[in-house]
Amino acid sequence: MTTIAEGHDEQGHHEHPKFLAHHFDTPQQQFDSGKLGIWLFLTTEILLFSGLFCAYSVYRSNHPEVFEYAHQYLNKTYGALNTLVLIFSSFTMAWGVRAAQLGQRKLCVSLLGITIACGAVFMCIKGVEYNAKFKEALFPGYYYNPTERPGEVGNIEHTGESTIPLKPLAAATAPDQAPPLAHDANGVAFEESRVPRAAVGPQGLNPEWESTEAARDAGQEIVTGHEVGNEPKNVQIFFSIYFLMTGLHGLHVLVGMSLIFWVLLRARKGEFGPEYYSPVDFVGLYWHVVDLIWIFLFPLLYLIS
Amino acid sequence: MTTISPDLAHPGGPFDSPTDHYLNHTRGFWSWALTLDHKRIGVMYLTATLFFFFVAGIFAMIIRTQLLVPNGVIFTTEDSYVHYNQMFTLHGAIMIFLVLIPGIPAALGNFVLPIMLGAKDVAFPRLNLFSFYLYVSGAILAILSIILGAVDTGWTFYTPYSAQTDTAVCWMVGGVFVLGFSSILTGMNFIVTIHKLRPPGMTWFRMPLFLWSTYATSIIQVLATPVLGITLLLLIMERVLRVGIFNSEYGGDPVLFQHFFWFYSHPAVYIMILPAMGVMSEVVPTFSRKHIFGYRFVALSSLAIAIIGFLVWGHHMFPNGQSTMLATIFSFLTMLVAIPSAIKVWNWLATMYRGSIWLQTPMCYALSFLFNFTIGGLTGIFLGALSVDVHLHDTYFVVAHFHYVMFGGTLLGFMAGLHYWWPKITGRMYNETLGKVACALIFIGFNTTFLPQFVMGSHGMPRRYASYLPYFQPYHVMSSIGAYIQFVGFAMVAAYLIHSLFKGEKAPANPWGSATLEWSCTSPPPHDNFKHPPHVGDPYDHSNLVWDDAVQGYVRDNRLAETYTTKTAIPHQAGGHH
Amino acid sequence: MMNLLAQTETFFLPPQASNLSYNVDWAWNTILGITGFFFCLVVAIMLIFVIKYRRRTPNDSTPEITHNTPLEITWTVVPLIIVIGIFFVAFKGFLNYDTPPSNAVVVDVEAKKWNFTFTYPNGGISDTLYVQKGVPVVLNLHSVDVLHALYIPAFRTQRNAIPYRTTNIWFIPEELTPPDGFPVFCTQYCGKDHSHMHTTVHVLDAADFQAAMAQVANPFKVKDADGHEHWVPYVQLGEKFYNQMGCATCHNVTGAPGGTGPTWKDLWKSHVTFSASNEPGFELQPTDSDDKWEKYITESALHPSYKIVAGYQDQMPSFEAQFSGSSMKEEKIRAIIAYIRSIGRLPYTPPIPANSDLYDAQKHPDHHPEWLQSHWPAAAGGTTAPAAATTQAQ
Ligand code: HEA
Ligand code: HEA
Ligand code: CUA
Ligand SMILES: [Cu+2]
Repeated sequence: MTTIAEGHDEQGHHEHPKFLAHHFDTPQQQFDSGKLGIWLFLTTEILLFSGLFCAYSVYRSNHPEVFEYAHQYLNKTYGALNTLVLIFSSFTMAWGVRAAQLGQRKLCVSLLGITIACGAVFMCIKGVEYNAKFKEALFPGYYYNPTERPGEVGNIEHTGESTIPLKPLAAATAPDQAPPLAHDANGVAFEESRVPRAAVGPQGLNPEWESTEAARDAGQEIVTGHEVGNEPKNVQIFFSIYFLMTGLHGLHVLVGMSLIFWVLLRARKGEFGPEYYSPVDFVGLYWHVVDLIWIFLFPLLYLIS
Repeated sequence: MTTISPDLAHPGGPFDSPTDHYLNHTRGFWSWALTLDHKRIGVMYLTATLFFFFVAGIFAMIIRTQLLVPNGVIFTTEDSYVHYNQMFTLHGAIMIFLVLIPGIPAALGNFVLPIMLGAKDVAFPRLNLFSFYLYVSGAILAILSIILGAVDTGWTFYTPYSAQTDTAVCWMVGGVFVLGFSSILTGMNFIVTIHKLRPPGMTWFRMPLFLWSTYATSIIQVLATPVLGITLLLLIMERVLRVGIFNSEYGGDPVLFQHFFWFYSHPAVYIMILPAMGVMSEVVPTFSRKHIFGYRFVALSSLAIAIIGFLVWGHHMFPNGQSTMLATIFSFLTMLVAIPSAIKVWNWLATMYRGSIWLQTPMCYALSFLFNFTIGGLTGIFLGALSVDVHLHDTYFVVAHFHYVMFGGTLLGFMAGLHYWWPKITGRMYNETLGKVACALIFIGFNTTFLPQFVMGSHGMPRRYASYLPYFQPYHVMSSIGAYIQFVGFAMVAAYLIHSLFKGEKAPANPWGSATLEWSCTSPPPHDNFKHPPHVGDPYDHSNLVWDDAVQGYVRDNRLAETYTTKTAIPHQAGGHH
Repeated sequence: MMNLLAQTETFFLPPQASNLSYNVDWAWNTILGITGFFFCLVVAIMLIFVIKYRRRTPNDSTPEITHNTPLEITWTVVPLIIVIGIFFVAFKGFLNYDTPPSNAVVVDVEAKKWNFTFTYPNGGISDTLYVQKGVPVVLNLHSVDVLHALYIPAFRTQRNAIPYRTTNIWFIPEELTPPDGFPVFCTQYCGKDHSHMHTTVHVLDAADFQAAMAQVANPFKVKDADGHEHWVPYVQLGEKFYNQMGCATCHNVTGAPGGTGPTWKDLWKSHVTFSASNEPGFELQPTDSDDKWEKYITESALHPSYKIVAGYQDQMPSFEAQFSGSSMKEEKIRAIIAYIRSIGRLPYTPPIPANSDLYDAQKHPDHHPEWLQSHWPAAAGGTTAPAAATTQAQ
């Protein structure tokens, strides 16, 4: 962005406009540099998220049942609403850039304001969702300890017919037992076949489940521990991924909102016009990328089948 | 630099007396702490990296002393072994994240890159200062981690151990995370600078090769470091929130962590070596007084290394539970990545052919680089070969390999660059004789330290061992002796360099007879780099540089320059921006 | 100490003691030859140039040689072909690592901080590895805590042990080991005592191997230096299992608070309450019978999740697998109980193995109380008479 491109030299050339840093020759050169810089920066942002997307695909392909099961806890209505809000904010943002470029000060300011408001709405809806998850103790990882099954999470949503498989899939491989050697027709053993799926965690979902089940098998009466039952193992991983992805994205929305606020203030002062509008342009690009990431997150997390 | 006028192309040279230069242009603490001058930022980076090199070197001395006898000299009980583990972790992490990665690009690169390019500064000077402060914050976090219970995970932070140990992993990992950002921002800055700030006449293929390799490095920094960022973030989350992505205790996959880690860290080894190769491509032609051989091959091989380097990370995990298929692919690609390095080695050799080889200290380091990097690179081939790596993985053979490439390659390249640009940076000459003696000591000490490690490694001595079987003792003793010799060598370097700051002779503008642009401004350079717009010529044409006894350096002979410009007139419209 | 100096040892490589080593060594030597040649070439060229073209005057004029494309292509393509060749040489050897024959003996290896435990098909357990010369072996590796790796330099093989996964190594041992065996290392960094996590592998001929198997299968018996067999007291055994089977990871025997599981110190006949139980209202009292306590401890080992001690998590894995396959399952648990009792508050008389003739002084003349005292001072748990003094068939 241009402010960071401002130079250190006081003895600048006279023909330089005020916004032009001393080490650039022309505004065009400065603009191009900023543009390349912001694109590189956005690349790194996307790569940052790509790590999480990779983790997502690895776990989803290793544990499809977990994702199918756990996504039912998420509220599609809120997700869809948020998607619409963000798409709309992208639109106002783009228009705001245009307004800055044309020097329409008032219009630009109000469009940027609307964009910030959209961001705020998005965050509020996210907050409501998070709050519901916390109430259900749908925490990430170790702290995952749900009190209700997806279909029963009454205060949020009824998915109607439960699609949950009756027997957990992953529980078949007890982690502490080495699966027997597998051999192909020629008696040659494979490593792959002997390796249980990655991440067959010991804690799995709901530690009580396994023990109560085992006790029930042994014909004993169950005294303690709430029953959840019929869940696949390792559902907690879904929530880890969910919270990490949406959390990191939410952080970006907040950063985006502050940046927009900053250009809004500058726009109010009338700093932008046809010659110089790069800060609005660059912040806009950032905002579009943040939206874009959500456009990917929404179907990946909410719309699984 | 709006226009280029060859008739103005006076090299700054000895006659421009450097009374007002970047070092004394402004004074006072804040003039440094808040500077936006890439040269000062470079100098601050340089000071910091040298300091951390010293710190990590002390850790190395502790490691080597411990290993003098099988049961350990310093940490002798099982409970104290954890301190040994902290020593090699800190040694490795500091050397890599605080010394090697910023060493050449951020310290030397910041200083010379814009001048070499003929620009007044990097594209985003404030961002540059900001990344320096990120570096400082990262370093502080790392130091805090030492105080708060040093990390004992190894520099690779493998889960689940790193998620379970009760040492200050979060601090160190947080520090590395911040350092990563610093590195990303520096990379971005350099890419934009090279793309957009080239003056007219400075076409892509007229750029000094150091710029090419820095460019390739920056691309890796920008593309690989974010993945390290998210990996480390997840590791912190793993410890704080127990999310169970990497920690097998909560259902995570430790092998996934390794993939993530090496996806960054293998490219990172090329972040380390490429700039050193860039230094080589400057030092060898200069001290051979000859044009670099095969310019385009050397330039493009940097990009090739950068690209292929992204595809080989799995070679760190051959026996770690990765499928046979993946291992095969990674091994094959690993073999390919050796080729661009080979191209460079051959071209440097060819550059020396029929040259006029001047054995000054930078050249001595460059020759040591050739010797040691070749050993390091060729032993990389052993490790990249599938079945052989199953035997060598995680033994001292690997330790020796990476010291040969990182120390024998990068660090010696850094030393070459440090001596090469020292007169430019400080305006002073160091003591040439002491320089050569120290170089010899370091060369001998280094090889005494690490050659035996190949042998014990191939005999099965595992790495990260605080104690070992008596069978390996002779090798370890030899290795430790070598380390002490290195220490003496480096102490000498520190002594004469510091001495030269105060008592060194004034440096001429061009002491070595180099044709790149930074040598055409005064030593040290003026605040805004060039008094006159520089003449962009062939960066490796030494024919018009002649020795001038009066200034104890080279000056451009204008008559020769004339012939030169008419011979290879620069088409004005070529390259650069408009 | 460790005799690595078998005959096939070379300057660079340890002895070739398995079928895998030939291929690896062949690849090693090929690569060494090729890279050695290139290294010498580089250094020779460098030295010759430095000497021959050293600077004579500061203004030496040098020829304008800027490039030579055929030369560049040569030194790109020739190394390329060579490295691809190297890839195939090593790839071929690598395929061996994943193709164990189907008649291999499967040994289960459990890696934990900081030792290996080998379990053989006959249920025997040991902390050094025994293999028979010429008989293929598959080692199934798993880890109970962090990453480890099992590395046998003489066999040229290693692989990581990963928690909740099974990986494996296989080889055919082809050289008898010297009496000290070949070293086995943990090569994946695993914390404080990583450097102490090493053991040995012994390659034996058929007869010795059978004897070794019989011995490991019967941990109740040991051989002393002069070949006499002795029966190991239960407390001693229990302590060994405690360390070997991984109980020590979570249960301490010092009484220090804060362990993952309850301490074993003074556990026996203490007051224990439960946060979850398959028997409602179950509690343990100091007054409860030995029988009830023994039943509880047995159940805890086999079905740890049935009853959860108040203040602890349901985290313990079932040890059923470790005990099953062993013909002496019950005796082993009894030994562990004996150990727990020996560190309890009450004075304790250790029992004797079920097969009481084992301790029959007539049949085993050297098995006198005095002998026990001197060889196994810990046997009596410091409480009462030496183990062999009492006979008890339970
Ligand atoms: C500066 C850093 C650097 C560089 C440049 C390299 C370069 C290479 N490295 Fe290295 N490597 C490390 C740093 C580096 N490495 C580190 C830090 C580790 C350990 C990390 C850890 O576990 O802690 C490591 C580990 C490592 C491993 C994993 C070992 C293991 O853990 O089991 C492997 C395996 O393939 C490998 C291979 C290579 C190869 C093939 C190259 C190639 O790029 C080398 C290419 C160069 C040449 C080949 C020499 C010049 C060529 C000629 C003279 C021409 C003739 C050559 C031929 C015909 C072959 N390296
Ligand atoms: C840049 C990288 C770098 C460098 C230069 C070094 C340098 C050295 N290293 Fe290091 N090393 C690593 C990176 C590096 N190392 C890494 C990444 C690991 C792996 C860690 C892990 O397993 O996690 C490792 C591990 C490692 C081990 C293995 C530990 C183990 O596995 O148990 C050993 C053992 O000998 C060792 C030794 C040394 C020695 C003796 C030096 C010597 O060459 C050091 C000499 C330097 C000095 C003595 C400093 C003196 C300086 C001054 C006096 C001031 C200088 C000032 C100026 C020049 C102006 N290193
Ligand atoms: Cu176990 Cu290292
Ligand atoms: Cu690598």
